[in-house]
Amino acid sequence: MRAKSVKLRGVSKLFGEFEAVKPLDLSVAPGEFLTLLGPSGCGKTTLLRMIAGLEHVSQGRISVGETDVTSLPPNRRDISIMFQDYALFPHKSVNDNIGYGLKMRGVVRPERDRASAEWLSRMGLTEYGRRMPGQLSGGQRQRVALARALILEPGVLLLDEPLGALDANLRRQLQGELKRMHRDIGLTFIAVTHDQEEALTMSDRIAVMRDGRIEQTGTPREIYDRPLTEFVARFIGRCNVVEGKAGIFDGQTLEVETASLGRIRAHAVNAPTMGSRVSVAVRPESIIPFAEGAELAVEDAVFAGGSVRLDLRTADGSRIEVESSRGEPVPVNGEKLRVHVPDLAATVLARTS
Amino acid sequence: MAITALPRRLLGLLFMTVVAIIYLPIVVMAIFSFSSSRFQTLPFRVGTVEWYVRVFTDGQYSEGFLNSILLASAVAVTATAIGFACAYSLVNSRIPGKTLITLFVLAPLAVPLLLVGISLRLYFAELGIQPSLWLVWIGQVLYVLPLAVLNLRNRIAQIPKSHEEASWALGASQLRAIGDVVLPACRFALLATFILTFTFAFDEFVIAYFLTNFSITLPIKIWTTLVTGFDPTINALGTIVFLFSMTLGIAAQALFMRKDVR
Amino acid sequence: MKTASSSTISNPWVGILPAILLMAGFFAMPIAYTIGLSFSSDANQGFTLDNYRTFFSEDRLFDALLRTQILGLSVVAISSLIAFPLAYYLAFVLTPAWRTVCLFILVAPFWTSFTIRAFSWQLVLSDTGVIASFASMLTGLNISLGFLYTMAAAIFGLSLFGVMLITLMIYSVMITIDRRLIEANTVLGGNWWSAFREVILPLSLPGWTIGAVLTFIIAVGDYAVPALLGGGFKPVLAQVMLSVLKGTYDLPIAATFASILVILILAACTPLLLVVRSVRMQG
Repeated sequence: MRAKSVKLRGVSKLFGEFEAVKPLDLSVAPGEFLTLLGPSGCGKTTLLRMIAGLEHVSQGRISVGETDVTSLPPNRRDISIMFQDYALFPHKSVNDNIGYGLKMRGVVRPERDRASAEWLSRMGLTEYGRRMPGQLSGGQRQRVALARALILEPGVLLLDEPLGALDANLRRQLQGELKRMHRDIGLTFIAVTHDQEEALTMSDRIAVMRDGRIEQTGTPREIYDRPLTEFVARFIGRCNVVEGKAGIFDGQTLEVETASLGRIRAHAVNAPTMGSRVSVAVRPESIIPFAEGAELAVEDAVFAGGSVRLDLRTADGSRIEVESSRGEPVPVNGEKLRVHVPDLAATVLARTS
Repeated sequence: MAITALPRRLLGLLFMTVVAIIYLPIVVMAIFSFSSSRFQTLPFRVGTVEWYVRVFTDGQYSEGFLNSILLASAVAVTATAIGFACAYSLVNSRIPGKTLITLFVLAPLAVPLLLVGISLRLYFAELGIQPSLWLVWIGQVLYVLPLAVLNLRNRIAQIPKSHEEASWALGASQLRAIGDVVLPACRFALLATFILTFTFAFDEFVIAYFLTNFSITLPIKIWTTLVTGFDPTINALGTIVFLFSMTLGIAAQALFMRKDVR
Repeated sequence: MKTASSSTISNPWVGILPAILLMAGFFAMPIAYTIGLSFSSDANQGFTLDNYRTFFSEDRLFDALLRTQILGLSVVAISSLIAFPLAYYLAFVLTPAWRTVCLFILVAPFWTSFTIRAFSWQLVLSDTGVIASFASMLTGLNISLGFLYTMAAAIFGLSLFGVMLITLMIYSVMITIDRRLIEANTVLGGNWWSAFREVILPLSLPGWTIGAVLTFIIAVGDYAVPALLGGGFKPVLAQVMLSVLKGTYDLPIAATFASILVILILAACTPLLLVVRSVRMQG
C-alpha cells in the first residue's frame, strides 16, 4: 500500500460562536504515525474529523498526497477511519462488515469474501467470518474494525481514540500491536488520544493540542525532554517547573538563577534579556539526589514500585519532586537532602500568557 | 418496600376490580355472541354460532372489513414512512427551531379528534371537495403521525452516529447508509409503529364518520347498525374486532419492548 | 455528492417537509379556517360575533357547553383518584415480572375502538341488560337499572379510558423515582403512607399532568360514548355539533362550536399547567 502525506493549511473550525479549532498548519509525512494529544475539549477530535471529511472546514485547506480534499466526501479522500466504538454494523456478519467498503465500490461477492478472508487471517481471526459482532470480544472487534478500514487500501488511516474502549491491560497489549501493524503495513496513521503514555509509546511524532491550537509538535523524545511550554511539560509525565532569573546564554545553555534549586544550566534556544524572569522545567528523574547542590527538606518518601518518589520542600517554600532509583538510600521525613541538577537536564519554557 | 400487608391486599383488590370492570362488558358481549336469543338478557339460551356465520356471509360487514383493512394499511404505510423521515431528520439535524417544528408535528395530540374531523370537513366543503375515503386517509394519517414520530424518534436517537459515519466513510451515500444502518437498527420499532398506526386507523370512527357520506368502514357500519336497530350479529362482530385489535395491540406493545440485537 | 458533515445531514428539510406540509395543509389551515368561519355568518358577511351571541344566548347550546365541561372535569377527577393507587400498585408493589403482565392486561382492551367498547357497555348497563336481568333473577323483582342514558353513564364510560391513560402516565414517571429517596423516608422514620404523600406523589405530578390534560381533551371531544351511553336528551357539545352538521348544515355555527371547544380546552388546561409548573419550581 502506498502511504500518503497529509497537509493542513490554515484550517479552523467554528461551531457558531465557538472556535473549536483555531487556524493551524500541520504536515504529516507519508508513512508517519502522528498522534494528536490533548485534554478533552482541545479540538483534537474535531481536527481528525475534518481530515476525515466528517466535519466541514470553516477555513483553510486539507490535502492528502497531492490532492486537495477539502470539499470531497470521506470516501473520496483515500482515507479510512476507525471509530472509538468501532461502529461495527451489529446486524451484519464479520465478513459483511469487512467487505462493506468493497461492496460500496461494486466488488462482487466472491471477490469480497476472498479479500475479507485474507484480512481475517492477517488479523488472526480466520474462523470468525460468519460470526456476528455481538459475539466478539473487545480486542477482536477492534481487529475487525481495522480490517474493515484497511481492506480499502487507503493512503491514510485515521484512528479516533483507538484504545479508549479497552481496559488497562488490554490497552498496553494492543498499543504494541498497533505500533507493529503500523510498521508492517507502512501506512500513514493519524491517531487521536488523551492518554499520553499511549502517544509516547506508539507515535513517530506527537502534536500536543490545547484550546484549539497545536502547542508543540515533535518526536516523543523531543516532547518529553524539550517541552516548549509549561502546559506541554505538565501534560506529559511528571514535571517540576521553577522560576528563576535569566543569566548568560552560551548558545546552548542558559544560566538560570533559581531560588529553589540554585544555579541551573538549562537548555535554551535563544537568549532572553539578562535578569528577566524565566520558567524552567525539569523532570523528577533528571534530578540527582545525594549529590552536590541545593539543600532541600524531605517531606515525604513514597515507595512507587520501581522507584522512590521524594517530595521535597525548597528553601523558598516551593515543592519539588525527585525520582530516586531503588538502589539509593531512602531518606527520612524531615531530613535535609542535597540534590544536583545536571547541565541540560532542565529546559527553558516559552512564556505563554 | 416498607409497605404493610393490608394496603397491599387492598391495592391488589382495586387492581383486580378495575380489570374486571374493564373486561366485563367485553366478556358479556362475547358470551352473547353465542346466544341464540334475539334479546340481550339472561337467562342464556342455546349456544349457536349463527351470528358468526352471519358476520362472514353478510356482504356489508365483509365489505366494511375489507375497506377498513385497506384504509388502515394505507394510513399505516404513509404515517410510518412520513414519521420515519421526520423523526430521522429531527434527530440528526442541527437546524434552529427544532423544538418548534417538533411541537408543530406533535400538535394533533393536543386537539380533540372531533375538532380535527370537523375542521377538515368544513375545509374540504369550502374547497368543494366531496367527502370520500381519500379524505379519511389524510385525516387519519394526521391523527396517528405524532405517535409515529414520537416512537421512532426515541429509537433512532439511540443509534450511535458513528455507525452511519462509518458507512459514509466506506463509500455509502446518505440514503444507502440509512438503508444499511438505520432501518435495520429500528426494524422492530418500525414494525411496531406500523401495527400501532394500523390499529388506530382500523378502529377509528370520528374522522371516518365526518369525512364520508356512506357507511364504508367497519366502525361506521357497526355504529349505523347500533343506531338504526339492534342486530345480534353485532355481538359476534364486536368480539371478532375486539380480538383482532387486541392481538395487534399486544403485538405492538411487545415489539416496542423488544431490545434489538447488540 | 457533497461532503457529508457529521450531525448535519445534507438536507434535513427533505425529511421534515412532508410532515410539515401535511400538518400545515391539513391541520393548521383547516383549524384556522374553522375558527375564522365562526366569525362569519350567513347574514353578515364581514367579521361578526353573531354566532357567539347566538351560542351564549340559546340555553340548550350553553347547557351543552356546561355539560361538556362537567363531563371533562368529572372524568379527570374520577380517573385520577383511581389511577394513583393503581399506578402505585404497579410501580412499587408488583415485581418486575408481574408488572409487564399486568400492564398488558390493563392496556390490551383499549386497543379496540371506542364504539365497540361503548356498545358493549350498553349491553351490560341497559335497563334490560345483564346487570338488570341478573338482579331481577336474584331478587325476583323486575329491576330496571335506570343508569344507561344518563350523564353518569357517559362519565363512567369515559373514566375507564381515563383510568388507563392516567395510570400509564403516572406509572411511567413513578418507575423512574429513585428508590433511595424512599429509603431515606424510611430511615427518617416515615411509613409507606408518608413515603407516598411526601415523595412519590409530588414527583409523579408531571406524569399526572400529561395524563389529565390528554384525558380532558379526549373527554370533551368525544362523541361516541356520550351518544351511546349518555343518550340524546342532554347532549354534550360534540353531539350538538354533529346534529347541526347532519341537520341544519349551518357551517358557521358548527365552526363556532369547534372554536368554543378549543377555548374550553385552553381555559381548563393552561391554568392547570401553570399551577403545576409553579409548584414544581418551589418544590
